[in-house]
Amino acid sequence: MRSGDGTVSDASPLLRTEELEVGWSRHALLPPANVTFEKGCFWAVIGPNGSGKSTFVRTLLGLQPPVAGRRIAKPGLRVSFMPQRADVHSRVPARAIDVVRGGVDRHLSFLNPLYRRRVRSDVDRAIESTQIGEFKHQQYRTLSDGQQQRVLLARALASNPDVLVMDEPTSAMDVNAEREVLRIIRHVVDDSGALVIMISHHLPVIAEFATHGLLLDRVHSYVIAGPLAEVSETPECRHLFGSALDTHRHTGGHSAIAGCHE
Amino acid sequence: MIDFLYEAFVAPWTWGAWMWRGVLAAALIAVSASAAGVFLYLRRMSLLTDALSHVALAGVVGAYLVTGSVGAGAMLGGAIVAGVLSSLLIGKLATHPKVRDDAAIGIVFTAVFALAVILLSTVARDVHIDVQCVLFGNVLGISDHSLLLLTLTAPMTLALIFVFFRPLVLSTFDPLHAAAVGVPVVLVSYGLMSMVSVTAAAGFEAVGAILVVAMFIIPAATAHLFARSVRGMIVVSIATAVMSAVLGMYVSVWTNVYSGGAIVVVAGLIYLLAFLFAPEHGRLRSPGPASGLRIHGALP
Repeated sequence: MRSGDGTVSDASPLLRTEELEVGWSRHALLPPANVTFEKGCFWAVIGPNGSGKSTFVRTLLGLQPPVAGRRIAKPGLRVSFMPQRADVHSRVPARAIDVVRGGVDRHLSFLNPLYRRRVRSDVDRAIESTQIGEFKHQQYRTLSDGQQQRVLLARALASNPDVLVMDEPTSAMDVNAEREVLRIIRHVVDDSGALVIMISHHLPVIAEFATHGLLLDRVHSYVIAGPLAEVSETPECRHLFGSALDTHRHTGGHSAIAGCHE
Repeated sequence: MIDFLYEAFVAPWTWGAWMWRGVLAAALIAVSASAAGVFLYLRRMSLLTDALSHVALAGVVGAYLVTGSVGAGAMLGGAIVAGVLSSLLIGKLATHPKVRDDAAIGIVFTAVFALAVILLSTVARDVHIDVQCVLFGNVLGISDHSLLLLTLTAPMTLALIFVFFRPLVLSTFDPLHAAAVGVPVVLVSYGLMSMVSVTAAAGFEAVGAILVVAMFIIPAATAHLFARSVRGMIVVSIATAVMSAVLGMYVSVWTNVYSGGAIVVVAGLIYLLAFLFAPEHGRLRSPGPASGLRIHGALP
């Protein structure tokens, strides 16, 4: 649904949770969550270490079963996932470009000889937008941590995802590189109207780029979801982060993003 | 000179069918084990093969208890069933968040192996299992049955790897991403482990447990020193495995030593040479621009 033109092209949200409880071995980490993720939104998943952020996101993606409740994904949803760098087995011999191609490989599509040609432009575009062209022929395992994360981002973008989920995508980057990468991601959101869900600890960057916040805390047992401005006003957020999430909100201007309502 | 070359390279092939059969068997097990071994190596599950070769003993004993026979068919069948069942069990345990992969392997295979030993010393006491044969096989005296099994399983392994190459690579490199984009990661993992059990069991009688394990691990480790793509790694792995098999057989017939041992020693020596001289990892690499052998994977 585009803001302004008034026509409801597709009213159902991309992803939503119904009384979703996440955890391990039937033990819930967090209280039930009811969250609706619309297209064009940039969600930041925040909370202290060990608060259940990764578990929540993995359950949302269907990578692990929920303890209770359910997740409802729109049929045919194209999901891209960028895990923490440490979850990738970098001993596998592959050039950076091969890793990016992994983002568009699906099932047994090698049986279709024209498939590579069809996705080549997607791969090239992802390489260009993430500026990894100069080392695309180097072995992935020889790249620096920050370069590896760029390659993983390119892989995630190459498939033109409806939903882009990232678990600390910039953890190995300095502030400038991080800002650069988030600009790239926001470009993608603006262009394609994708939904972005990002776990991050870097509050200033979240404040600058995110539209929505999902605040989790296992110890105090809460899940707070909503537009970032509202989440940052809650006592829980104030208690954890002070006013760190308040900055730049006046310059945001994200309400122009297609489909995302703050 | 000519006589020497003839004696060295041609004569062995004229000594009889057993030489051809032995080399063929060793090469077939080399091809299938080394190709599958690449994925085990990259998943840090190389020792799964060691586990499966121990589990095969339990399969043999189990087959005897069920069928009352110690024929080749029952033994192989038992080994395959036991291997597949234990790899499923290992996989189930390993995907549990509280169990480490290596612990899962260690728990299942020691327990199953111990069970087999207990059965052997009690209810199956009258089974005559030649431990020598279980560990080292007898490649020069391979039965028709084993040879047939190897000729079936080796191409099957390669075909499976070819067809499922992409899901295998994606879920090996980054299982979380693979699962998120819809690759059936768990199914792929079980499939790989079942394939390994079948290969291990098929190579069992032919070349023995030790050689099977060596063929899974050493060529893949050698290839990893050179490879710049998974495809290239599989090619190098198969090539060094077949080279070890053929050279090992030569060494074995010339020096009249046990074939399986000779093949493993040759594979180990090839690994040592590769380790010392590999372009990127070699310990003796001279400083300066990287040169020499590089395996460029063909664009997939």
